Amino acid sequence: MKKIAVCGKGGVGKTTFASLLIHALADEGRTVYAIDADPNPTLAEALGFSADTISRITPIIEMKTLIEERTGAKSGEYGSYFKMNPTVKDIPAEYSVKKGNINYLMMGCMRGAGKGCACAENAMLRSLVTHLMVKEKETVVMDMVAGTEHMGRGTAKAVDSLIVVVEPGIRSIKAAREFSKMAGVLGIKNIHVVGNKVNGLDDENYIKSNMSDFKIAGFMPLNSSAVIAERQGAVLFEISQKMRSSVQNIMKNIF
Amino acid sequence: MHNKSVFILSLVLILLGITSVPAFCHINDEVAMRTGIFFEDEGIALTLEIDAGMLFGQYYLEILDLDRDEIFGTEDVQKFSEFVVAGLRLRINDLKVLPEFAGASCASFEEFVAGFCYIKLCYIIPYPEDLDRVCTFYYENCLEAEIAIYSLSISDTAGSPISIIKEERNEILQDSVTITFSNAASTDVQAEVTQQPSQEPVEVAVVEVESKAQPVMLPETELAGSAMLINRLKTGEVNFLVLIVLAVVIGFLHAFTPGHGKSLVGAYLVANRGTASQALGLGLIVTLTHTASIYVFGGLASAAAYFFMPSKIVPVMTVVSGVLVVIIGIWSAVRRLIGLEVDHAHILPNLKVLKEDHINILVDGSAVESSEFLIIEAEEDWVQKQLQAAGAEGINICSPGCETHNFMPAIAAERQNTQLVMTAVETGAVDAIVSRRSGLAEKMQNKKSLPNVDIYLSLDSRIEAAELLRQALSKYNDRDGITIPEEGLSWKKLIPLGIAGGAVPCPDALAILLVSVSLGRVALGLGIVFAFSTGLAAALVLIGMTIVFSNKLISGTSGYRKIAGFLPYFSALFLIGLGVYMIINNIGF
Repeated sequence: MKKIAVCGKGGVGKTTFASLLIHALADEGRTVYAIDADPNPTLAEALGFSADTISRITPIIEMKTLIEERTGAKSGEYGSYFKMNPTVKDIPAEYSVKKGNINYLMMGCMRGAGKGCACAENAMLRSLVTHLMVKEKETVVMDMVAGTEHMGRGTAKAVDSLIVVVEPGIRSIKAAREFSKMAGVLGIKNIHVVGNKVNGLDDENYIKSNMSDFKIAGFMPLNSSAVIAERQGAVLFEISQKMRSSVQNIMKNIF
Repeated sequence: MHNKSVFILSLVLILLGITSVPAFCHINDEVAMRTGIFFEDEGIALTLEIDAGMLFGQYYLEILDLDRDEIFGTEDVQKFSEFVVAGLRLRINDLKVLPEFAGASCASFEEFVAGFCYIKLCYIIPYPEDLDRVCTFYYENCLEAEIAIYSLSISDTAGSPISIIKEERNEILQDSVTITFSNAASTDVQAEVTQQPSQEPVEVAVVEVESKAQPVMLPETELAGSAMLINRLKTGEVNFLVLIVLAVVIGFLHAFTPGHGKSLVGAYLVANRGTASQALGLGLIVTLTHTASIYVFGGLASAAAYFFMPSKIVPVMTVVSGVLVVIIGIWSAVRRLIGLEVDHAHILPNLKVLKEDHINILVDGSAVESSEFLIIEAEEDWVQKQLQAAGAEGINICSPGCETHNFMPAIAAERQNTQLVMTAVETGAVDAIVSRRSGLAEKMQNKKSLPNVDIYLSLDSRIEAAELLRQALSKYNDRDGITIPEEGLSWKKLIPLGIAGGAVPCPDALAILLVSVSLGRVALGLGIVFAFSTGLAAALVLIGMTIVFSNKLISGTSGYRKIAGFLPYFSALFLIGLGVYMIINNIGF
């Protein structure tokens, strides 16, 4: 049972890496909950779910009837009471789409003012994330943007590893430092860096020298197979031996 | 979804838009004038029937009874006739002509006092001497042009040599007509007609009228709604069922004319995110008040008819209601600004989220972070064991949400939040509160009637959350007197507003009752007023329901959320404006 959060600046290949990690964990025989908490959710495609299946997925935050039933509030109502600890333990199993031992759950975009907002929809999402990270008995990998809006300090402490994906460039490294700072405030102890789109030793050294104060879990090569997999709707973990071994090495370093 | 919202919004706008149509049933602040022009052998017979609404009846009464002897004598009627003729433009072949007074009939003084104001005047206009050629007769009624509803009836008489060749009337207003007529015996007529140049103004419809044509009249039912009921009462044509059905229909239509609390109901429901039951409740309260006010006012007016004219009391009542509405509007705005009235919460606090058999912990929007430690700790085994020991079903963490969605001053938001927390504590079911608001504890202590509840400023760890839960669990069996309202419908708010809306006097319904009383048919009048009010209720409930359901559809849109915070203030402003309008409109009576 591992609780992993993956974040990184947009475009660094965060979702691609998360999908590889999820497949690698599933490949070990684990049941994995793949949680898509990105406001622009594309993890389902990266995991190889069919377009038809994806078109039928409703993000949890848009399940108005479920939210009303569980929180006792009317969706969109402010200034009236709702339950902040709705029952959510059945949601991962009931509302996820399955492929082998991968269970995919699309969270949807947090509403309103983000972190400080306590409307019923956000309370539902936060309760669900808390349950997944703190109480869920299976492995959970969450693909998220900055790692702060879905979880507070109580939940963050349960995260086994926050993996920050970077590419060999100063912008994504700068963003990674910010994520790391926020994660530190939340109390996440284990922060790992994964260098993605790495083309040779020069790129590896660039990341190492600029992030010497971070734990670097490993590197993922710049590989055309990622583009091919996306175009063909194929699973990168299955078609690229190189990527598969890279992510498996990273896993060994993290756990 | 979007299209559906647009459709329902359009429906609301159409419904509200109907208010600008005065409808023929709103006769009391209008005057119906029916003109008859008949080409008889001895001249043009002109009849003018004036059916004044109750508010204008008072004005006509003063002209008709100049000597104040409460009898309409011959001299009185002739004076009135002069007043009417001064408002007419009559020309034959472009030469001004004066009509000769030929007689009149009118309602009695008592009927005028009761609001039934009818007078019929008859005149004769002699033909010109050179009738052999084609002549034109021009008629225009300028009397009460602002508030009158005109109708024209024109015909020549069967067997008479005088025949109408054509008429040009203002089809929309029916207040003027030019009639071309001739002596049919003349052989020059047809040739002369064909030589006449056509000078038809664009907006004037030309109707060729065949000789002996049926008079062109507006249907009786269009002339007056409530006036028609009065007429039926007056003439004794009383088929009880027909009258009741008519009263319901007219009451329904009547609700769409200005006033009647319709806008009040709409504004209130929009601002407060009303429910269907509230729409129903508010509509019924307005109607019951309306019926009751007519009964009471009708009784008083009938008793005092010889001292005060009903038409004078109506505007007084309107001003009194206006003042009441302004006071409610100002009070509502002040309460919101000082935080006494909570946005939505006064009517929909959703307190049913609190569970009597649970440990209820309130976490307000300022302390949302704390809830996470509580959620995690509440699942622990030790908590479950203690819950079982205490006989409680579970831990219920509740929140009224944050105020980030409401665009209101911070002070008002804080006060409203405090009020919301206190509303929940009043139920007796709250075991602990987490709130960063430092003033909350002091305010709660000042309110002695509130149960004593521990307030935690924040929870920064699971240890602190565990301590809160331990305390709350230990006190669970000590609490008593729990009253969790099933539904947040606040009748305390609805009733005064419904009364204010319904107390606005409705002259039409009152007129029906007053005429019934003056004719000794009191029971029938009361029944009709009740049926009339039922129709009115149906219309108000329909409007209310439409608003409630369209409101639900659009409530999720971001644009709506932005304005939702301001709606209660608009509602208060609207009430003030409505009240001021009612006062200004009637202050000069």
